[in-house]
Amino acid sequence: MNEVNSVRELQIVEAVPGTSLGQDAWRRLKRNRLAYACLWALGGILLLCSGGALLSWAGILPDPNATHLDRILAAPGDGYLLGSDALGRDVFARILFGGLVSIAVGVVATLVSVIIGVTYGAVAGYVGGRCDAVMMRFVDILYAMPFVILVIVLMSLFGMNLFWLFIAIGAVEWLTMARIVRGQVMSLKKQEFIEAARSLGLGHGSILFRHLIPNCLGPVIVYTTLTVPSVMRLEAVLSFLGMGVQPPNSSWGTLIKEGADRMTTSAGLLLFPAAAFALTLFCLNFLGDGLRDALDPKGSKD
Amino acid sequence: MRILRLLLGCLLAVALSGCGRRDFAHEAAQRGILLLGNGSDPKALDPQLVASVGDSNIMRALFEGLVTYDPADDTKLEPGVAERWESNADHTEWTFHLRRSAKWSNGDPVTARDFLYSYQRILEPGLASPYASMLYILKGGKEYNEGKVTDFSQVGVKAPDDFTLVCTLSLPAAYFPQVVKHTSWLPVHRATIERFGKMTDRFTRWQRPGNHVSNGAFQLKSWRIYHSVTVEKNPLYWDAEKVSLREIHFFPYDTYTESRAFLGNRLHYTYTLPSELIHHSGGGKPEWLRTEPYYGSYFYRFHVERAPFDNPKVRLALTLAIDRQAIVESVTRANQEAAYGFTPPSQGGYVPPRLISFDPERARALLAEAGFTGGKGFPGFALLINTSEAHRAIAEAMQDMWRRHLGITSVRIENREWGTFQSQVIKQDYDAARAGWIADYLDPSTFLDMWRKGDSNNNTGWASPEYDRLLAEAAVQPTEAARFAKLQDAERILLTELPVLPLYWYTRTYWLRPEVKNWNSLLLDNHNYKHIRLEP
Amino acid sequence: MLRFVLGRLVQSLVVLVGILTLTFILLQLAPGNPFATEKNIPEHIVANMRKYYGLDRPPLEQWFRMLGNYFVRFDGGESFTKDGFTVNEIIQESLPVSLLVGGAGLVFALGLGVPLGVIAAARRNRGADYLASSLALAGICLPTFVVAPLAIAVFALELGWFAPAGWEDRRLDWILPAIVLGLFYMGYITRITRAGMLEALSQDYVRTALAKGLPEGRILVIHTLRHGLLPLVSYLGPAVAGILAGSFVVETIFGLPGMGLHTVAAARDRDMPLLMGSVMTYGAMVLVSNFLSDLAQYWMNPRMRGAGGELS
Repeated sequence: MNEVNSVRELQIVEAVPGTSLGQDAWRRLKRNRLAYACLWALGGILLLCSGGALLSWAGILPDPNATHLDRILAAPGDGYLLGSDALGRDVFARILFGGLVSIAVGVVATLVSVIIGVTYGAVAGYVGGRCDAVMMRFVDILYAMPFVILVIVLMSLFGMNLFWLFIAIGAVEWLTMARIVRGQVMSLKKQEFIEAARSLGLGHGSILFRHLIPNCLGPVIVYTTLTVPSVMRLEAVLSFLGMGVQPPNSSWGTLIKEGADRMTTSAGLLLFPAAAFALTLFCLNFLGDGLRDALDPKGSKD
Repeated sequence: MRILRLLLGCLLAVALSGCGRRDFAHEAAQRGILLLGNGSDPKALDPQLVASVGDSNIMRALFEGLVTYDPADDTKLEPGVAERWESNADHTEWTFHLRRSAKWSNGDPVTARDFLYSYQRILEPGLASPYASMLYILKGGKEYNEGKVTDFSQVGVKAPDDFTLVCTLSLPAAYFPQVVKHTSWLPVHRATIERFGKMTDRFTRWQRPGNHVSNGAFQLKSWRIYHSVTVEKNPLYWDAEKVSLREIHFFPYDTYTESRAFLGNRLHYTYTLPSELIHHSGGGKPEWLRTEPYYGSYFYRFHVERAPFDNPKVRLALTLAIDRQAIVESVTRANQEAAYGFTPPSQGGYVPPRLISFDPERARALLAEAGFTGGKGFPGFALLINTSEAHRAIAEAMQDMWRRHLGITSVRIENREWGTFQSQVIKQDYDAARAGWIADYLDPSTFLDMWRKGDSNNNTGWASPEYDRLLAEAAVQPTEAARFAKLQDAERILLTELPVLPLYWYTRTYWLRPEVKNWNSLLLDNHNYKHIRLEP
Repeated sequence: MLRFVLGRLVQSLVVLVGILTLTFILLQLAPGNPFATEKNIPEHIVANMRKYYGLDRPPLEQWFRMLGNYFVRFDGGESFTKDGFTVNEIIQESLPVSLLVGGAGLVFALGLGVPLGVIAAARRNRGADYLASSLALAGICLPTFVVAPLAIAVFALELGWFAPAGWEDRRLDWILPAIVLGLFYMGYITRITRAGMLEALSQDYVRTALAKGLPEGRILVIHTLRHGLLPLVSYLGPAVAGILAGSFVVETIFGLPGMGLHTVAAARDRDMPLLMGSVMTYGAMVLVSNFLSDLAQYWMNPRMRGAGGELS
């Protein structure tokens, strides 16, 4: 199960001070050519996948789920751009469509985890005291449980569909985010501008959501870009267990799993989706690194 | 960098000196050790508590029943503990004469009392044996198992002396000796069972190596979870001189793992073979491949109490819109036979009526009659499968056939782990669920009995008094031909009303190394290891 | 120090009770029948089984019994699906396998990841950095279930160096799975080491040392390793438990009789006692390795020592 233990790079992320993402950081990111290229590449992948799905829907590209039992396991180029799978479906169309699903899982589940994590962490940090201690002990408990097991139990509890996949992954990936935000909020709440807001008679809610959380945005953004790839990996492992995206739909995880089973006989089925998956994860990770550097003035000296 | 180089150097040295390219399977064959893939980990080593095909493979090595499996022909009977047997004229009373030389692996003689004890044990409600219903054929067996009768002497099995066993049946069964080959009829050693608990205690330590006592050609040597079960030749077996193997190792590997283990010369036999390796060697050799008919049926259950499956026209339309030939040729790809009925046909025996075909025209017409012209308005439903690549591919193909031929686009596929899947089927919490049924014994009744009203394996909500009546009539027919005719009539009802959607009849496909001799094609795939030889 | 250790012990017990309770609640909610077999079982027999395993008792009583079993008698009870085996037996038999494979994997991951990370940091944004970072990312980005069959195809079937599957005592069958398992962690270790070292290298005292013209290699080792490896040690806290507790994917593909298989199978088949045992074992391992990691950080970071018991 350990393949999918969440990225626990807490310490690295904590090194980022809670500045807001300004022009400065954007300029620094642009200067980091690799990260900037990754940003573009990710945009391209997203565009390609959604465009592909749109074209399939419009009938220009083959339907990713239409089977052709008379044309199974065709070689790349042989009527199909990247070949056909064991049920005669177009691999190219499936990769594009699967990419859309994988990216959606990555983004939506991450958003779920961000929403839970930020709210939870901010509340714990802001309220402090015994409430904070109890809330953080709960995080400790979840930390000490195997993630995949939690997801499996949650999925079998609620049913295996895309919606619950988002929720289940989001529900186990928020822990680190909560810790980061709690730490930020705890240091911020002692600062003058919060005191000022409080003396102006602002309610706890608006202090929390208007002043504290926006000031934690830097580390949140960095950690978010690192969560997306780890969520996508988790989805792939769930696909290995047959618990990921349900047929006939595909995700990169399910395509790679199918391909891995057939790698000795039709290598393309593994190669193409694995390449797309690896490329996306590569870009996300480099972008995350770039963002961290950009948001961390100390590290940007050279 | 230096550390890196050191590490790589170490690895390389270990790798080169360590394993090399040894042929473990060949070495094992020289030592008389048979290495078998067995699909999964055994649930138990207690014949009265096992239920899966893989477990029964191990049971067959450890235990021997009254009658046992012929090495080459399922229809034949090989004497086991019983030397000979006979029945009365209407096949309701059977007498088995036990051989005096049969011994348990601890030296005790195997007696009729052991069988009596075993049959009582499996029928005890407290043991909760999953296969107790196999013994319902004994008069009073069902009542005893359900707790309606508490006196075992009222059940139709007696031991007039140590070496005679008399079975009285609840219905005439000329095929009874075929039935008693099954795992659920194997004997257990009373003193051993009771040394580790009561008769009805489940899964006590008696099944462990060192404690386990059995009467088959082999005895238990070791049992390690997710690792292997190993059995060794039982020197006290009555026919021990005929047993050629010294040990058998059963490995619980997953499909792809076992094919790799086979390619790496660590197995003599794979339990299954992924279909792509059948058509593309993937490193395998053509002479390893074995494809054999297997007495089993792959189908879907419809939940007939749920709309729209309460309408037989809908069930027929969905059935006719499936191109079974395309599924066996392009999806399963292991020479399975497209089903035209439910019970698989057997050579020279029972043949089901030919009522199922691929007829999209008629399917569309029927669907229109049911009120769903062109699939419009057809309610959404789910195909329930247990998690597996193979089941998923078939379900996806069906999903697309219904979309293409009937215009139904609202089919979902839901996959569940085996445990959840099974409990959903039992609770009838599904729309349509995949199923596979492997014969317990060589007779069509093993396929047809389960569709009677209230049978614990029916699970479709379907019931037909006419069907039940025909089955009851079939049971009392004097000749095999007359019985089969009645069964065909019954199956005709099943195939018209279609609480099930038959897909194909099974084939067994696997790899077997040439060192293994006398491993023959068997319909039930129950190999008698006593006759297997290794010739490296 | 003693107060710190005692405090942690109490805290750990609370966390363990929490894990037990949470797992228990989840399993109470989960559907599925732990007694499903290949053929259907009549209703009254299932009822008998439920009674046999005590599942007919009220949940609170079951929970209380379980609490007693774990914290007083250290007994996980009997597995539902691996019948006749106690949870203790199963874990005793499978954990060593996972520990060996995971331990070897960890050594591999550290042995490769730390040097790569240090090199990458020292040669930031140069060829060596990109090479090391790409290698690390390859470990992270390629799913284990792709790497494992590929590694088997090449190193076991093609070259015949390692076993393609299986586990024999006294044989070196664990090397290939350990490397495959370690690759993923190697990726993270490299990245974290690199980031930690970069952070450490940007500290003023290092800049001063550099300005003084001390040879680069010696500065790296003497001044920054201790500081730069802090994030890695913090990461290793939970990660060590994760790698040692066994991987379902690796154990399935290599046919190893390890803990990871049991944990996932138990979750899928609703084998409550076994799942509880696995989750508690995992939890205990996380707590121990977190504790060790905290101690190591305490020792490595002089600034933390001033903070007394404020370790977390």
